[in-house]
Amino acid sequence: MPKPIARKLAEKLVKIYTERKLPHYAKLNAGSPEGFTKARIERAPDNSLFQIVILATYDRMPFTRWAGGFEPIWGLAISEESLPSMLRAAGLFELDSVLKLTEEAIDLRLARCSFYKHHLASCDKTRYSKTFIKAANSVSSLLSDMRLAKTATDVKALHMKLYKEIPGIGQTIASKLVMYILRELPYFGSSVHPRELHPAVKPILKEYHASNFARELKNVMGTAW
Amino acid sequence: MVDKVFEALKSLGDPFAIDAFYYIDRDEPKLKKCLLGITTGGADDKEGEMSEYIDAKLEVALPADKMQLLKKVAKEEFDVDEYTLAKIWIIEQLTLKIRDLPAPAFPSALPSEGVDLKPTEKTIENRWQLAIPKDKRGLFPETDKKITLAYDGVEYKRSYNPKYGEISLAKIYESGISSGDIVRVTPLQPGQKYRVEVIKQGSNKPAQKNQGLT
Repeated sequence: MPKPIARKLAEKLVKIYTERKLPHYAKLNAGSPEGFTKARIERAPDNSLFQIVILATYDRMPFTRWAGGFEPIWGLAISEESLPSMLRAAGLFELDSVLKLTEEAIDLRLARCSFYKHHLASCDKTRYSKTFIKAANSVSSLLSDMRLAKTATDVKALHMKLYKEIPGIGQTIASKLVMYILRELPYFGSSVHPRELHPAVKPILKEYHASNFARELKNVMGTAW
Repeated sequence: MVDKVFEALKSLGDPFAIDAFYYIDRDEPKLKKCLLGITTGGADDKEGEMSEYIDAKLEVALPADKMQLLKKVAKEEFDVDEYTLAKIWIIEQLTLKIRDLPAPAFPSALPSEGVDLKPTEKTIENRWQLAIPKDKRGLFPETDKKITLAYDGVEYKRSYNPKYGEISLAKIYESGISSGDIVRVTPLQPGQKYRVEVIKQGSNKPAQKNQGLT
């Protein structure tokens, strides 16, 4: 049984999330040529899912540090270079095109990209050509899993599939993907209720801003939870 | 803390709303300030644009209600009176604050101790400055400044630059320091004034005035 303050804070978070965050991000997407909107996703759900998966794998350090935030990664609210436009120019942003390429060809094209003066071929242990190949080949089954998902168990399986099968996706990025495709951009044909998404939630708290605010709240409130 | 909020979000049917943490911290500094403020009863924007998010829902945290909450929690969950629980919480908060403080800059040497310098024959002959060993430089100023060396009743003003970590004895050399003697420098007012003593070779005591060291 949650304590009263936790419950009240939770109510406030729901209000902020639904009344401020979701409209804010929807506006960002609607106002940018690269934004993911209902119309765009419904027109080509498989291609949109592929693109979202790929962009999510770059929405991490050090790429966000180089770009100064997630906006250039997603091509939102910027007029300068964006990752979608760069990948599109390299012939790597459309699912059909990527499915025709070999891993070596993708690797070569990513190595030639210069996103804020850095190539896109690899980072740490991730070889992004493998990410592209696996993501492109998984889109169909991911879409199917999303559409069939009804319970928390299904969500857990989908979350696990994302981070276990696609190189470059860890638990945190997998959680963000579940949040985007099943909660915030619910245009892929899924009917899972938001309450069933809980198995995929906690890893997003490892992100810097989330953990920072949680820590500050904890310091203010101490043990009064 | 997060676990309890997460459980509450689950029961409210929207666990991903916990991502509001990320959103607030990154994109809503004013809202963040207000939220952190109200949890301590100090919201500064209750009538402003954030008021709809800082409504009565968190007002349990305001002082009057806090006392009620304290009594309830103390009795039901800790089985102690509210005063005892308040003390426990205060101690925990202080512990947290102390933990978050930067580590104190420990001086590499204690002010009560001095540093023994051993000038060589060449150093004495050339009136060179004496280098302070690195582990003793904590006794000396951290910035470039004048220090006072008190030797046998006379005070000498000397420049000290931490970059080089050397002191100049200058006229003190003329008191008859020999190779093998120990020059002991002890802080009288750390960072400002130091006592200089010369311990003659083979002696445990500072040299006396009538030994030609004035």
